[in-house]
Amino acid sequence: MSQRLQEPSFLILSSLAGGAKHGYGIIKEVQELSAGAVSMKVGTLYGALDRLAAEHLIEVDREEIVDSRLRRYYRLSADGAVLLSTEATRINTQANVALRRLRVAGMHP
Amino acid sequence: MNRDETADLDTNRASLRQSYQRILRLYPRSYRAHREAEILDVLEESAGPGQQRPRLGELVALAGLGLRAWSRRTMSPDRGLSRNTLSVLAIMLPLLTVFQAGASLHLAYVMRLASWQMNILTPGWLLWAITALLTTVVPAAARWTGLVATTCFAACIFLLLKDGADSSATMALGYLVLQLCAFALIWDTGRLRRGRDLIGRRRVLVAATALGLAGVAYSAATHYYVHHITGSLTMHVLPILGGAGILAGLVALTKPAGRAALPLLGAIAAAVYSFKDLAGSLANSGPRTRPFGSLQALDIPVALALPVAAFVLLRLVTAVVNFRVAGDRNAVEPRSTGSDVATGASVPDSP
Repeated sequence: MSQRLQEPSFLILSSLAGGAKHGYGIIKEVQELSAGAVSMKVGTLYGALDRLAAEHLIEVDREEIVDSRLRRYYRLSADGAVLLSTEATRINTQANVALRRLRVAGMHP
Repeated sequence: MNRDETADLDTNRASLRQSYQRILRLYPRSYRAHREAEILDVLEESAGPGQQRPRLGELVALAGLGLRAWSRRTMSPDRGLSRNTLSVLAIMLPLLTVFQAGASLHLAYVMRLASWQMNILTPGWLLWAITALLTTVVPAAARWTGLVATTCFAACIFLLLKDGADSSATMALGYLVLQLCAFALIWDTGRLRRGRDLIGRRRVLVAATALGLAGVAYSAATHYYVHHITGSLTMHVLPILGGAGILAGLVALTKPAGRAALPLLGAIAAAVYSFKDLAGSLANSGPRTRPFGSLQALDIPVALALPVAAFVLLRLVTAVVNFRVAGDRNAVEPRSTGSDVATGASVPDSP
């Protein structure tokens, strides 16, 4: 699969790989996954969710009404899982190559 | 937490929610119907304790989300609106020819037999003016008069080219683009009937009369100008199509499909100009009306870019008009229920 994921999309899919979540749940999880480096804005999150839903990488899991407010939960689709797996493998391979070379050069323990 | 602090928190939360609601009100209606409640919930959950106003970073992100929603909504009208758009365009494009028919008839009267090149296209224009009237009166007959008119026009262009590719021939080649587009649209009589119902027969007839008279007036003014001031006989394409386009656009400006048709109308008008200019370049004769002079390498990109630029510009203008109309409607009507967010499904074509 030649499709590449941008960092926000990668983090959102990674967070959904742990189970269905609603918007705020995704924001919190993304912050944790990135060790606090990424603080996703709500506008950015929904732009990414729209795009991922249009590409059938995520789907609506369920809707709940909590304190009279709509809460929509999203889950990873089968296509999304395949893409996330491919992308994670690619990043992992590239990172391993980089670390190996740094080690050979004596610049990494 | 005492009662006063709780009351303060509630006030802050209500104030913040109102601020977010005001921002989300700028989003397309279909997007709000699908997402507003959900986004508001997440925005409130994400707010810090005691926060009264949206943070700058969040405002920027929400503005970006709104722009993306509008661009999707604007660039991807739903299938029903597209069908109506083509129907309205099928009526509007032949109307453009009425302007030129008026101008051509006046010019033929003034020139009489002085210049056969200037008169030879007049029958074609008149046949197209008849076609424009038939689109709303007898739609089934319009396709045949359109066919005869276009064939007659093309034959006259052949004669002009045989005599030498002068400005009349290259301009006529540009006009042929308009006629072929109009002919392709009027072939479906069902589309014509739908367009007539959307615009209204009376409105079309009034517009046709106004456009014909405007054409005569334009020709009279141009004739006076070229004979008494410049001494040469040149009728530029852009003011003719621009003026006619504005008038024809006004015919359907009160309908969503009419507004959706305007960018296409503008793109076709620009294509007429581009093609005429390109034909002039290829023939290497006739007046050079475009400002690029010797930059031959840019001829084709410019010819392609002009219709695209006209389309995008008019699309933005109509998006603003649609937004204002939707705002007015929302002020007096309850909001509609949800629709598909990915496609940004639009409202039905109501007046």
